Amino acid sequence: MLEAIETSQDPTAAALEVRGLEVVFATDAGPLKAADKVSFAVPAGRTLGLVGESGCGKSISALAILGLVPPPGLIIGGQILFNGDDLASLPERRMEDIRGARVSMIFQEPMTALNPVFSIGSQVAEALRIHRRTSRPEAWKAAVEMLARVGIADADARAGDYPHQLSGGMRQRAMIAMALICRPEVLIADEPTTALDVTTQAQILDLMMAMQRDLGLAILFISHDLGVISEIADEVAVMYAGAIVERAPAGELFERPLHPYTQGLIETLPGTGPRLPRLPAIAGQVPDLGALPRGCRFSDRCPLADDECGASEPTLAAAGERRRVACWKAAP
Amino acid sequence: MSGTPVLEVRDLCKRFPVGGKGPFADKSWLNVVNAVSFRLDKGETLALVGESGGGKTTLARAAAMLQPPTSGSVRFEGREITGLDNRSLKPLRRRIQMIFQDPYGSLNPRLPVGAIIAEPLLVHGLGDKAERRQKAIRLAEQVGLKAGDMSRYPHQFSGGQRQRIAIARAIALQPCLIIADEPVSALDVSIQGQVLNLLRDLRDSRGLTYLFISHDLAVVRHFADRVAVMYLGRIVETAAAETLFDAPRHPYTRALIAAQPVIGRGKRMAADCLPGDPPSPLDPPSGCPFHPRCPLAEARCRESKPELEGEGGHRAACHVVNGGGT
Amino acid sequence: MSRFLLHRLLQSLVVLFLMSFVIYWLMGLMPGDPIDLMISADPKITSEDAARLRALYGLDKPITERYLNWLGAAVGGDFGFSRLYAKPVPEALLPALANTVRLLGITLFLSLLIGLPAGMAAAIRPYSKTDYTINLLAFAGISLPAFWLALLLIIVFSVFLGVLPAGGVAALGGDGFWDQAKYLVLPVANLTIASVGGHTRYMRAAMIEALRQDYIRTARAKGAGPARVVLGHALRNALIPVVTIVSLDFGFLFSGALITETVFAYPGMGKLIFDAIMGNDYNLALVALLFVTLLILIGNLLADLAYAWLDPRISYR
Repeated sequence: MLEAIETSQDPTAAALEVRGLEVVFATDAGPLKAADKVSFAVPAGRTLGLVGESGCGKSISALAILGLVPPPGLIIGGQILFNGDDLASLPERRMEDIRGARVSMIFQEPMTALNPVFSIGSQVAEALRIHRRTSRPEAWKAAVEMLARVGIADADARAGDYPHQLSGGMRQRAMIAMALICRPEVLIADEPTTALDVTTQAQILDLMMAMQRDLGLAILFISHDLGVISEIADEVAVMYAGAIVERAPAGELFERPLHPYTQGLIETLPGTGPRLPRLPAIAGQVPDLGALPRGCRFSDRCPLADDECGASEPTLAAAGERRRVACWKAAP
Repeated sequence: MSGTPVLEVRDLCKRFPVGGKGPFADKSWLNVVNAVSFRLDKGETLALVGESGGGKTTLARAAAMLQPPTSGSVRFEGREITGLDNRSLKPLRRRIQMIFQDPYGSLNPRLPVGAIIAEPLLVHGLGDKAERRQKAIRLAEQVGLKAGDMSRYPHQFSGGQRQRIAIARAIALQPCLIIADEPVSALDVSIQGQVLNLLRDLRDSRGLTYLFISHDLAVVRHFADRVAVMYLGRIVETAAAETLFDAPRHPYTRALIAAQPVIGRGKRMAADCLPGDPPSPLDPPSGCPFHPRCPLAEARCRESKPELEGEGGHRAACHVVNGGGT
Repeated sequence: MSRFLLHRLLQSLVVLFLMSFVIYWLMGLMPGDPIDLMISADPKITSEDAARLRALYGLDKPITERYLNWLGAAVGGDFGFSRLYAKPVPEALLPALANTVRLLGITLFLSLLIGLPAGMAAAIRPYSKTDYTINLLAFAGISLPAFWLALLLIIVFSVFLGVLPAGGVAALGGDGFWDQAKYLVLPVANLTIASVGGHTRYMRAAMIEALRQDYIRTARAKGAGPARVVLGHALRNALIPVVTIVSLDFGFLFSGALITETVFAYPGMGKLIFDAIMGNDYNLALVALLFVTLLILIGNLLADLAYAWLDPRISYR
């Protein structure tokens, strides 16, 4: 913990750091912990991949950074450190100045994430109008330039198009232009390529990497797709049922996963190796946050689980120099 | 491989009218499936792959006579089924079943699982109430559900469990052909493997034949015997799965395989990703439909449409890779 | 666009034509005809007289023939003579139409002016105190019976306070603005209270739906403040379904204010149609009903144009 505080005071270390984030949803069945002591850091110019299955809390953690957790969700603990401020306790007014200007976000489904009744040019320009109070014609000009920069051919004409007139890939490019037009330091990308075809996905991943190089962006890349994460992330955090269970540099994680859940995820993917008659599958279902097993949250599906795992919950502990894992059984 | 194929499709076309309604509107045609032919032998799994808009789903639905094809021939177990009316198709519907991407959308939310699984039996008038119930329980157990689940409702299940329900319903009438349209795409990674294993077990135990639609090449490589790659309503390459993935010939197939993210390969190198978007089927390019995005395109590709050619069951529709002088 | 307009206009003409036959036929089905009324008013008319009168007016012919005769005259601009008002139909109709346009135009304007912002205010924080208050008032307005409210308004403002007239359209010789306007206050208030609740509820529902969309989250992620999110991003999308409701109201309002018009003795279209039907005034009822049909068709056309203006996904080719 002491170490973490020291490194976070070094301005080059982390553009964004999340510490012990806890998000709770008040439901009729009682409070559900969608994010349970989630901690990670994204350095400038690097990409942290946040990977996990549906309902594991990866999107909620991302929305929490921008203070956009939908009701009845609430941040009840932890810090979100950005540029010396704790975003978790910043008043809404000041959050508005940060959103879209210094920390931006793009989403999974660019069709529904763009407003259908406004042209993409005006939606891209709007960010400038909000944050820089740029005049309308100047903002439009800048938007056209930005659209060209994210690879939209004939941007001058396309800027007047409405979202439904563009292909999925073009829409996502427009979203990226909108997110980056104010030159933010951090980009949060929530499943940005999940709704796209593979060749379009490859284009968008390349675009994001190019923009990262140009702008020195810190990217938090959220996906359920281990392949995509492997190709874009420098460091990976694996989430399961609301908590990070393993964190490691990407190469090491995919080469030698330590947590049995990570191992299971990687093994169950049909890979490029020889064809197996059956896939090694993880048993059971993704648990309901309201009915987590006692002790380790993965213990009911884990092939290694024993009494110890059902008795108490492991914390995310150091396992080697740059790795952390939350497992009683994982040998570092 | 010999004998009557389960499904044989020849020169199948499916087009839809587009444009405004009313007497003054322009009408034009959207050619979604263009002169596609393939055969599917008993116990075989043929995968249709390709990106959205390629015509995979439309082809499958036309082949199953869910949406009658505009032209072409479909033979099911040796018998021509295009042109049959609904009454004559009804016995065939028992033999061809579908599984969809989103099981929730295809399950009646107001029926308990037992009734959902037994419904096809009821529709086709098979067995009395007690027999149907017994059969539904046996089916549920075969797909890994518990007998106690029979009185629960679809919303009480997770996505993977719902797909099991849909599968149980699909096999209730002992079909010989199952059309699985992106059956694991909406499922979590840890569940995807379970459902693929189940589909494979059912194929082995019941001798099922699958027409398997997927955009996920890794899943297809694992699951399919043969693969047909579709682009803009045509099959551009077809081969045995191993051959196709080890030695793809068509530039589109190669681009698809190259674009598929692979774990453990390290950070991607921005390199040869396919430029542009698939063209609109309303205004298809001249010649080879892939030429505007193709790294190998030559002058002749703009002029004439390549035929699907090749030997040993590995055929591609490309002037350049099929060789021959210009 | 012009092709769409042409198409829609032709379509409207066909509907109008079909409606004219349906209405004519339905009126023919009604028991009794004008001659019966004459007989009941004047017992000296013999059955031979009646038959002669029927032949004179063409009432003995089959209904299709009568309809075609009427249609031929109507296309030529002759809508016949109103029995009840003893003048040509257009002359009987136009004053009522003018009164109705005045009454209902103001009502619709006020109802939207109050209802849309109120619905928005309620939608911004659903289930808050503001929302509950607005909903309570909206439901009160929807639930109050119009005739009861009308009587209450008359008792309070005309009988007790004596500040407003209880009915009619204008005092003799009074043609200043206030002289005319004060006759409108109570009927407008009555109709507005009855319709504003519906508009509020529709706007609230449409706004809640719009605010739930992904693009609202995008707007917030962009740094848009609450005003920009609601007025800039949600409002235009929320108006699309509201336009449908308003366009339906449009036709309905011009025909359906019967109770209010009756209680306030306000000579508008509702009252006119009612009187014409009760009085077997075929010509007047027929034309008035067709006029309402036409207004409904115009309302729908305006709604389609409003859709195209609000929603770029809709294009008419």
